[in-house]
Amino acid sequence: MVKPFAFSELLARVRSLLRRTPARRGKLRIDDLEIDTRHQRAERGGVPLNLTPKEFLLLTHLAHSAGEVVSRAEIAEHVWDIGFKTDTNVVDVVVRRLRAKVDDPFKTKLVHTIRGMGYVLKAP
Amino acid sequence: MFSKRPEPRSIASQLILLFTLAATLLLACGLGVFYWIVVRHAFAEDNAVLADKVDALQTSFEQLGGLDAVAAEINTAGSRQRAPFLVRVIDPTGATIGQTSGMETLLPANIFPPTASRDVAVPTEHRVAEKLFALTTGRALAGGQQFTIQVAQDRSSDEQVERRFGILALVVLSGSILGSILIAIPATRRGLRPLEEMKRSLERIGPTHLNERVAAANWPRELQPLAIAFDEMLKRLDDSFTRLSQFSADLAHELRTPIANMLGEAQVALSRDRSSAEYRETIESTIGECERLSGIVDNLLFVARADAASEPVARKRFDARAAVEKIAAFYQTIAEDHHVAISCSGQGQISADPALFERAVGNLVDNALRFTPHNGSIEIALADSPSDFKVAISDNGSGIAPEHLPRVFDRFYRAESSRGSDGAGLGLALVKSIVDLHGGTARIHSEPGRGTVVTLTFPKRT
Repeated sequence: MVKPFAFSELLARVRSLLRRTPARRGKLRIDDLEIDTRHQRAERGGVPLNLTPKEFLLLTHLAHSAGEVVSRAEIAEHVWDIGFKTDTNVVDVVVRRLRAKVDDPFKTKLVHTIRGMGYVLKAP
Repeated sequence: MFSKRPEPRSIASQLILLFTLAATLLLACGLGVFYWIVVRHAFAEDNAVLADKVDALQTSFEQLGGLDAVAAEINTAGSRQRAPFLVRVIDPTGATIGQTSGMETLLPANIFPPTASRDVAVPTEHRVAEKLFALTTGRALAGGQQFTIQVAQDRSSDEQVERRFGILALVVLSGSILGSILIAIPATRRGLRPLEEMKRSLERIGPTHLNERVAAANWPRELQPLAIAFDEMLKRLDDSFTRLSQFSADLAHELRTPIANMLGEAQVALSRDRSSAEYRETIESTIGECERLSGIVDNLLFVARADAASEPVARKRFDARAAVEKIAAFYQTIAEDHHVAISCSGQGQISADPALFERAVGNLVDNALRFTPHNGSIEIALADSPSDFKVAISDNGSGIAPEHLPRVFDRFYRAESSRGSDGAGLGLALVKSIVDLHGGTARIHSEPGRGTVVTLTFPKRT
């Protein structure tokens, strides 16, 4: 990390590093959402979700830190390996698309926006 | 004219010193040669007179036969002449048969140069009783006998003349040195006066009127280039001064909006009791504005540090194609939304800082996306050549008017057409800083309505 850094970012990074290693393979479950990381498949309430590879990566990342806020910068770094700060809304656009597939057809919403901070995936 | 630091080098005193030294050297040479010629000539003349004298004595001695013929010479030896003579005649047995009175004690016979023939001996000099004599010897045949004639010439007065002449030469020399100094000082002052005038005209220039110029005045030919160089420097200073004040104004403007937003929302939130959801909203909005501010400050800091950086960046060799494809993939989503196609072409290994390289390319693609209309296209082209590595990001967007092109890489500079966009106007400044750090160049070419090409050149180290 470059020197002037926010303490919260350091914490988030340490957490994500801790998360990254275990439980990489196998199934993740949040509410009725099920992610099969081994076969790169996700389904909700038994309905398979048709996700692009990036959307799947994003969903997996959010699921790994379920219940915790993930910043846009962290998503950009984790999903696209983009290490620099950008002014774009790429992350927001992709999250919107993910929502369209994961949340919109269902009653309970799992992906939440925390204004000014990022996104969180959690069961209601 | 000069500040009071310890003994600065003075052009005036150097000129005076050199001028005086040259004058002294020339005068000393001239006077020396003159002195030598005069003195030599005087002595040569004396020698000739002496030789004539001996010859005359020999002749009269031989023709008239005997001492009586030269007795008059011996006794009245030229007391009236400039260099009086002393004469001695010695018979073959070595006995002195006649000599000028007083000669015995002053100049004994044995100090005269010997001679074997009738020829006159080469004169030798002899100093006695503060007088200088030239001594010579001749032989004369009379009555079948060899007589020796010794003649001494008193040269004391010549020596005196020589000494006086030497003193005179020294006086003239020192007078001339003094004179040359007296001429050199005002001459040098006068010669350097334009410098003083230039200084006075430069003193008038201050930060408030940097638009003044000095070259207009009629300076001497030697100072004209200096005046022109000075004017060029003033122009550069004027430019950067203008940019700096523009920069401060832009910075203030850029920071004012988020701060005003935060202040306003905070004041509204505090104006009466609110629910926690409302407070939450205010805080969230504040975070958003703070992120915007912090982004501006981060980018500004990066550009400022890059400006001041003295160390080269940490270079690494990596696959440029893979790096740009990664960027393209990142912006793909937005490009799809805008129906803009991003394509990559060319390949090669580049030696650069990977993070900075990606940031520069990312900023350019981001920019291109902002100004490319629907159904447009953006191309990232790589070109590897032996001397450098070029990355060209081109779009067929709205383009930039020519009058904005020279300044698009400036901090906070935004062409009118982009005023509406949400960037802080630091993107291209950041790109330029990154390329500068790699010792490269960033060039922009744009045609309004047809598109823009930004070419980054990363030179290869040899």
